[in-house]
Amino acid sequence: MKVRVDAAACVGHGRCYELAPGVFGEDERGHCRVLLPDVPPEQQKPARAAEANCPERAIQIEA
Amino acid sequence: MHFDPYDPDLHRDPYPVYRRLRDEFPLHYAAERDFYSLSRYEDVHAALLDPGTFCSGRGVAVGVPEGPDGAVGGPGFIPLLIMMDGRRHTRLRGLVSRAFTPRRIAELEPRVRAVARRLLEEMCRKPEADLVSEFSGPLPTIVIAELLGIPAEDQAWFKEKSNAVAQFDPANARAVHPSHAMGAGAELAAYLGERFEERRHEPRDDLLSALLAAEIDEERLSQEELLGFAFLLLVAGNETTTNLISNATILLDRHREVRAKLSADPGLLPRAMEEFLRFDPPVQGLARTTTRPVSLHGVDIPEGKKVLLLFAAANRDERKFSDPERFDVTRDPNPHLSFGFGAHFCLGANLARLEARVAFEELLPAIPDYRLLDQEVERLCSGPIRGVVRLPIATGH
Repeated sequence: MKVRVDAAACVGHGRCYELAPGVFGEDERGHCRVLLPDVPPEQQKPARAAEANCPERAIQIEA
Repeated sequence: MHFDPYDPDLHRDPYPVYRRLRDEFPLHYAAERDFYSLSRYEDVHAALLDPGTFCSGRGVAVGVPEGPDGAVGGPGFIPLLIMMDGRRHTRLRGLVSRAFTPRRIAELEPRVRAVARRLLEEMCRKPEADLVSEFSGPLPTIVIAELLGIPAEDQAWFKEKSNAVAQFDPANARAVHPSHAMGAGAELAAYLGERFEERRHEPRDDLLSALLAAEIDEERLSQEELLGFAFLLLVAGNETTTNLISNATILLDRHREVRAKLSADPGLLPRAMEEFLRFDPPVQGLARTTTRPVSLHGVDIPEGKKVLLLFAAANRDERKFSDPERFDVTRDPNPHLSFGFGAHFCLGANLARLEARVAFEELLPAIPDYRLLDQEVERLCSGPIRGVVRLPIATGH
């Protein structure tokens, strides 16, 4: 599983790094930074929760 | 089926009505006020993600008259972020959102806690108290006033005026809306204008100064936009969080076993906040306006019609949630729509979560055995807000 974030769409709600702190982190403005572009199996559930919860639809997941 | 979101009778318990809407009239048309309602999770979610079809620029309340050109508000109307679309919304939101990131909000926690403790200390001196006027009301107002940089001596005045603006009752539009609310709005706008002016000369460490300094692509906020934003924070950051705390206080009085569990393990509170939000949200729904004809569930909505997106109904849709009528503070996942979704997702969500969590982290140990004194609580009649006017409790002290 791979994750990408559309930096132009992110406004820094911070849902992703709250729900999947291992996969996403924050930059100095509170916007999303991908920590693990290749998501290991044990992190896939939180990563999907982050994708579903991003209000800006900025997270893309490819299986 | 009759559905009027402003009917005081509905406010006693809207949830059976929402169930009927979901099951029998998933796209309901209310002829008296000329608006449509969506109540199923999938439909509300999809509409929130399609601002090209369901726009915000013509207002987010139903039953409020539009101007001749479809514009909201009269002369001197200040544009609010919540009523903007497209590039204008994205640009303005980008400017202000950095003040609301999780990290910036987390920095406020010690201040929020100090305010909560001070209010509770005062309340605990008495055997009976009104939770709204002594705790859930002042807490968010003090926090937002401090965040904006409003001096302490002005905060009581500030609360009175922001309440007058936030609370509108379209059923009595003539009595409340134009004179009272607009008058208070003009006073607040003048007051905030003066505070901005002070900071133009002498920036401080507050949100008004940060807004003045905010720049995107070498563009700054106009005076109108500055006022509009400060205004929105007041209105949106005030009644909503107050009623989130009030509604949760009622829920925990009715579910005392849950209250005991949360008291014993405050680590459950962050997740419990999500269930408070899902189960009885302070904002029951907000409207959009169709930009083109839409067909759904066999009903045709013409262009230019108001569509009420009922977050509170979507939150109890069994097509999405298992056992949705059950109040379950450990529910996981809990993808409620109480902050909306998409481009207009509540900017203050992180602040609301923080304030409500800290409120209960402090309230539960302070008044662990509180109980409501009235069986029938006095409900607010204020647009899409579900909440209470007052909440008399026995504090147990």
